[in-house]
Amino acid sequence: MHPNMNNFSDITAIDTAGQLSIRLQLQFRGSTESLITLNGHVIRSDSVDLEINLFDPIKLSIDLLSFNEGTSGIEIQTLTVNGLEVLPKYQHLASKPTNYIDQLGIWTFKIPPPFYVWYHTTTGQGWIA
Amino acid sequence: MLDHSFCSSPWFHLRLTYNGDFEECRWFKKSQTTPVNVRNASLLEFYNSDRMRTLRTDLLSGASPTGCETCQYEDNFNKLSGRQRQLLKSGIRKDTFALSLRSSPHYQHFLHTWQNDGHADYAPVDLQIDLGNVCNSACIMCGPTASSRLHTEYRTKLHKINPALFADPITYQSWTEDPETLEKFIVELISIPNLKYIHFLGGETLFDPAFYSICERLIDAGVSQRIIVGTTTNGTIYDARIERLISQFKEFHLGISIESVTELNDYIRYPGKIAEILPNIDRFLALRDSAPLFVSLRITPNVFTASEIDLLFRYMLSRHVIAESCNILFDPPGLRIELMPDNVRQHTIDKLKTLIDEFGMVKNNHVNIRKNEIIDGVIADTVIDYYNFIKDYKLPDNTEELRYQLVSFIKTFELSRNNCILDYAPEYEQFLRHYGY
Repeated sequence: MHPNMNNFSDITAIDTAGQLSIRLQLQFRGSTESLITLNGHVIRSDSVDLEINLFDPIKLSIDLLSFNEGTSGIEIQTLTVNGLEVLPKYQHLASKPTNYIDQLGIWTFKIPPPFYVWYHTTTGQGWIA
Repeated sequence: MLDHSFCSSPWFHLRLTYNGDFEECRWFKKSQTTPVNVRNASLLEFYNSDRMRTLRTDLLSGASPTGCETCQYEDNFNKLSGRQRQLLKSGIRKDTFALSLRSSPHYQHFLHTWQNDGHADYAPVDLQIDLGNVCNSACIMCGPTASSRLHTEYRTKLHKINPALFADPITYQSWTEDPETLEKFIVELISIPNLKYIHFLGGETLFDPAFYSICERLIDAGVSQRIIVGTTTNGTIYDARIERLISQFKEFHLGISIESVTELNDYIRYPGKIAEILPNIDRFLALRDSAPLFVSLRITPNVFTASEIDLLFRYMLSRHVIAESCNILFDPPGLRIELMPDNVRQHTIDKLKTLIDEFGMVKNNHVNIRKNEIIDGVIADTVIDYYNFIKDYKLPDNTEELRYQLVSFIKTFELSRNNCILDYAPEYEQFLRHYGY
């Protein structure tokens, strides 16, 4: 992604815009009505790609407005950031620990910035000096 | 390129060596510049000394500094190097180097250094403190600066038998033997606000009164609960005082140095007896159940022990304990793994391949390896690292010279100790005879 990083100036010169590529794959099961947003963007399809700033927080929100009990819901198949799996792997960090939304109300998953520090901590890479 | 050479270690780490000289890093080859000693400089003074500022500037410039050769060599084999481990402490990942560096919590400190001639506006967080050379072992790959027993043997026998390979050892006073210096250092240690990790080395730390006195002072000062203490022991002794210390620190990391689970260890880590060390390891391992203790084996495979490293790995699997290999052995050069005879090398490769297949091992690339929940994966990484290294290493240019040197080296020890490598590694007989054994 970033070839020719020969010295620290090359790092400082990185344009931080658009450096995080988020890919969201959803599966709508049965009949549902919902408002889904990813970093404020309203999501209307089951596959979304979004590029954000390296230092942006990430917020996925699913507000399930109606569904059929026991037969419908929304499954988050994958949420990846720069190819690193975030969901369903870390679903326990969501407002409700699931990647299958079948209850009325708002389900949220938030990653505080910067993403790579969150990922370091969440994946148990140890203390930062 | 920066991702092949940059290391964040000099922003948060220092080493204090046996005689009180500061060094840039625990993996750094001994600096040839004017020593800076704890007797006349504080830790923080060295932290922003000319040497440290030059090193930081070099690293930010994309240079591969002199002194960093060990990590550079290990990186070539994709073996987990000190550089990779230190980068992780800055949140920098090898696979997303540029972006993780750009978003590292230390980025602002790197930037400050880049703009201020190598100066760092941070403080040491991770220290290695070498207490002195008080040691009951005289391992053949060690030296008189790190072992009092070896110091005596050099002076009384080895140097007299073979002065070309065994220099008359310099006698020095460990910095911890000077009460005033020790006190001054402890006071400074307690005052460092963000200190998170201290690794103590000897000699044999569990023998050294300074180890206990520094730990006790950290406890008394009320800072121990935020500090992880690590130390390395040769496993020949079990000191019950360690049980109390373990519970007083945030975590306690204990490394136990062995090279083999057979009597070959007795030859290498003379005069320890593996039959006594293995029960001690079990006692230390048992403490894991009731305390924040992480135990690892510390291995430095050499030309002999590499041949049965598969047995050591099987022992690790049976005891559920990882090995940390701090570096690939370079010194003494005659003991380098790369000098193995071809038939032994091939046999070792075959045995490691069998082990990998038997346990279905795959490479996980763990960098933060001190976690009890990933022990099997870390062992697999270590096995595969050594399999790849032994399979792929290139012979040093001066292999023949070094193999003759190996024979001269061990013959000198054997004259002093009245032992014989062939009693421990008979498969080396033809090889060693060829080179004059």
